[in-house]
Amino acid sequence: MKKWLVNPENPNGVLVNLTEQEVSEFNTSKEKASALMTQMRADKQARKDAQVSGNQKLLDLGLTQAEATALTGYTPPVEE
Amino acid sequence: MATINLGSIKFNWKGDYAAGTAYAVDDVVNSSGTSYVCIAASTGNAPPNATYWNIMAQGGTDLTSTLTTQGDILYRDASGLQKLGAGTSGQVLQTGGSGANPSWGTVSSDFVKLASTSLGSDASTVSLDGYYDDTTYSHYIAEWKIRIASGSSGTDAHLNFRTNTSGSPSSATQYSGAFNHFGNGGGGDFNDIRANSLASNWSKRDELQVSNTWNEHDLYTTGNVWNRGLMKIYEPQSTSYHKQFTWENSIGSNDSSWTGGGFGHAIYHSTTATTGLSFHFQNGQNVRSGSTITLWGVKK
Repeated sequence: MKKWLVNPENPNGVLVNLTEQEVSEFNTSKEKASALMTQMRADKQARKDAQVSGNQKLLDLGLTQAEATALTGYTPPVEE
Repeated sequence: MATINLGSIKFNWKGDYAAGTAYAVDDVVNSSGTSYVCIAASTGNAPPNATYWNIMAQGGTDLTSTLTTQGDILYRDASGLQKLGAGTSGQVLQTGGSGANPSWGTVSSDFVKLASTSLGSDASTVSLDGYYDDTTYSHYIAEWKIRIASGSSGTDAHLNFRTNTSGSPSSATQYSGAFNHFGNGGGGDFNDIRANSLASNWSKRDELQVSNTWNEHDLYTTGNVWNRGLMKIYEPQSTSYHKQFTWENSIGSNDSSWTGGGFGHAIYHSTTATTGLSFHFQNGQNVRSGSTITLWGVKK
């Protein structure tokens, strides 16, 4: 792994190897981020599922979609 | 037969004055660029001796002897025309005001470019280090134009930032902050507020995410859209204050079907002096050759 380093000794930039510690931190960052993104996507999908489910329950109680949207702010996606 | 003396009926040009020449009334000579007419015959009495000579035509300043070198310019002082010699490259002409002479001066800017780089090859990390000087500058502005390396995966290609300590990116778990990412795309408009730059909680992290790609969107792997942004860095060398950052940026997808942008703020919770800044892509892909980063200092 390489780092493009610019400092007063190398004002035009120089390509250097990452130190072992920097490589380790870089890989850790990548793994953490991947796990967080997976979790974030799962959270987002769960929220979307709950919105659809809750909306349907309101409709089953006899509310119109306009009334349900007025209550929750949720609008079902329009099929394309 | 009577003789009438008409005197000279025209001026009698004698050329340059010469001490050994006998001059008669109405002879005309040149002396130091001024013409004199003889009013009393004599030898050895040089102009401007008013007993023997009257000025016929006052000479001006000889500019060819005043301005001798390329870059010289002419001005007037209290007594006459003078030369201001060429200054040094980059200097500008400054007036001294009424009653004073002009001079060459240096333009002083409160906004100073400290470093600028264009990556000569792909690299996993780009780092600028060793340019902070808090005794001179109150804050710094980093400007970036960054793109992911050709052929890389753009998925989750979020641009991440770390502040440097002792020359290396600090991975201390001391970063906290948030950014607001918003834009429009095929799935409609989106507005995504992230605490701590990625996670949906407020615990500190070991880096900052300064830009987002919205979930499944890939980021400019083949198109000609760059991640461009500005970040302000406040007193990074302070050993009294935690380090504060604010930023803004603009990004787009590889097929230009959507655009996004955002702004954020963060703190690096440490009183350790920092030395620089580093960027890398969260998904581990390289920063592309030709990406640029410039660091400016703003004087106190």
